[in-house]
Amino acid sequence: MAVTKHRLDSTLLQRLPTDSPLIASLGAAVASLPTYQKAFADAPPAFTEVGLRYSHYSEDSLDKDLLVFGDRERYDIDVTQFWVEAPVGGAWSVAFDVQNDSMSGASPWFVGTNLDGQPGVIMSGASIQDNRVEVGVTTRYFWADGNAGFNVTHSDEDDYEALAFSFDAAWNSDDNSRTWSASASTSNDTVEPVKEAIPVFIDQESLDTQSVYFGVSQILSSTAIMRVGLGYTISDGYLSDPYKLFDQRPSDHKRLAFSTGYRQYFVESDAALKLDYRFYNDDWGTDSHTFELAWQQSLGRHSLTPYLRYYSQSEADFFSVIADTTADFYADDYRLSSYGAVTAGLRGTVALGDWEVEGQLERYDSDQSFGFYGGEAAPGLVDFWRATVGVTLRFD
Amino acid sequence: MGGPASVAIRHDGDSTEEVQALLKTVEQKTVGLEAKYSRYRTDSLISRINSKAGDGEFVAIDTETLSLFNFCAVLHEQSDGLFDPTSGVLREIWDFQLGIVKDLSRLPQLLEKVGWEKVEIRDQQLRLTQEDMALDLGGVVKEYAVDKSIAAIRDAGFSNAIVELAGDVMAIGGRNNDEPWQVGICDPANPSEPLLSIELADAALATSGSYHRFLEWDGERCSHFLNPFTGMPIRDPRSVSVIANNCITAGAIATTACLHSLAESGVWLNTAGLPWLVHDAGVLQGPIAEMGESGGL
Repeated sequence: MAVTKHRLDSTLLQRLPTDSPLIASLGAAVASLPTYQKAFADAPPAFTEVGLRYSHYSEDSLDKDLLVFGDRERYDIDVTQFWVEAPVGGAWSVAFDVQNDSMSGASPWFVGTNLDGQPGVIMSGASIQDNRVEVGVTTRYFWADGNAGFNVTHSDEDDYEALAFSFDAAWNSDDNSRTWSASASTSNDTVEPVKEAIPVFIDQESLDTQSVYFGVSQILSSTAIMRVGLGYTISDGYLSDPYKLFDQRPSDHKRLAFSTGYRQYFVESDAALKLDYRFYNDDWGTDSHTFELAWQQSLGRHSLTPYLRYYSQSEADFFSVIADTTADFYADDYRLSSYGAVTAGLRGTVALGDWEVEGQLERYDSDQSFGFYGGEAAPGLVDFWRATVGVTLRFD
Repeated sequence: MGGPASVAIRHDGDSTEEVQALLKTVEQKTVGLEAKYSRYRTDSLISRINSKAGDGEFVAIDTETLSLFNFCAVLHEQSDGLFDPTSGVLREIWDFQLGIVKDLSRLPQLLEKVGWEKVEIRDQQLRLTQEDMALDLGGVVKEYAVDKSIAAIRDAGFSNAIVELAGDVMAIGGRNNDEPWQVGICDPANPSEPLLSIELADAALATSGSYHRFLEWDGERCSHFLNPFTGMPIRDPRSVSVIANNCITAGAIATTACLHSLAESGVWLNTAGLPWLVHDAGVLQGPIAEMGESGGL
């Protein structure tokens, strides 16, 4: 019989989906033995990964019945991402990522009334062209029970610059069945709006944001994993939108977010069900709920994941469809209104040796009636398509 | 450990004495595990535990032994009871050494002595609650010995080595700077002829199968794997190979796959999510078999 040679090593093992709950349970049972303590230690990736991803985001044109003045065309955004992650020595890894967003189009300037006295959108005039470049570097250290990372990210565009620092850490319980994670970040942003098609009333303002997050994931059985997390964010400074005519927001903003997720693996189907829920609350009066359901179907080394997301939010205290400029704070920005949104998408990956190709298509539709909170319907709610393609290469 | 053993360590010429001492250490560790856990040795820890079965007395066990029993407990639970270290007593009926079936009428009596739930572990003590019960760690100790040998080699500062014990292998680093270690998976019909040659690096390959131990019964060839619920040997003898980051895990998954029916073993192997190969009557199945010349999984 002919002998067939195949290369099969730990780097390929690490390219497989992460350890199944069954393997993690077995590993936990012997993790305390000296023989396995280094083997089960957290470790940097065994290979270098390089990736490139492109997304095209396209908002639907504004319904002509909702337009009072301006162009119906809204935003198109092209996003290109490039990243590299590589191990350094036996306990470190370094990642570099750069993202370029190219934006064109118009956005609502304010909400007024049309000839019938109904709320309608006055758009911001001529289509803008803007480009944003974001560069980030992350260094990560691995030890037996966990890992920690430090990130610096700088973002720059014509009218906005931001510098952010973050630190995160994760550590595993003695039996490796539980992972605790935490992170903290701080960001300083400067906004200097461009004075072109529409008037703006500030020259330069700044804002600071700090956030913290705590989370834990737990292996429940050989086929199930669960996680919970809590995040808190504070922003202070200029928080209004300079490109909205009637927009005066408080100078501080506190946000709380609770999230949980559950993964159930179905061995016979070679698939996984993913359930995620997020609750958001802030001191501007907004609550929101997000539910996501996904089915990740393995097809050999490839996968196909259809998913569905439902979102509902309540309006901010100072939001009104047509801004009340007599109040201390006011805004007619649709993003602060009461609405619901449904997203349906499909993501696929194809593994070709050391390469992985991904594709994703997503459709988002929003409407006040989709949500379960009361409130008036903002005329500027957005619907969009997003398509993404990407390629990743891993090598020693 | 029931088969040949070999250890190879790559080193520069200046480390010869150190390597020779290390090989002695590895041999001692392996022999030590056999002395501790072999059910064939009357002075082993396992034999001492088995000799006190049913008398109510707890036997003190060390951390290493407790961890191995924890591993067995997890595997027992995850396999819905198919993997059971107490099923060895059934060999009083099924003698795979001689290849004969003894008194089948004793089966109900022996089944009463089988069941992991009849093993009581408290703190670092263990007892078998029924008389004539017997523990057998043959399903994990050999693979653990491979991992322990590799750990000793790494601790001594060597990062290129291969350890094989009776067909279970772990390789780290490479044979030389340009060439990884090569491991063969045997053809059950011709155990001396490799079916596949695999280049292994920083991974373990464990194979379970009935090509060495089986018997003929009721006109069928039966493997030496015994169902702990029915007391009957598993039919559809086959060879199962699994690759994992360590040998104890690879061996546990491969052994438990052999305890399932042929149809259900694929489901079990997919649960683990590790590369696997099943060889049954000349047919190869599993991700390892599906690999192409490009060498990717």
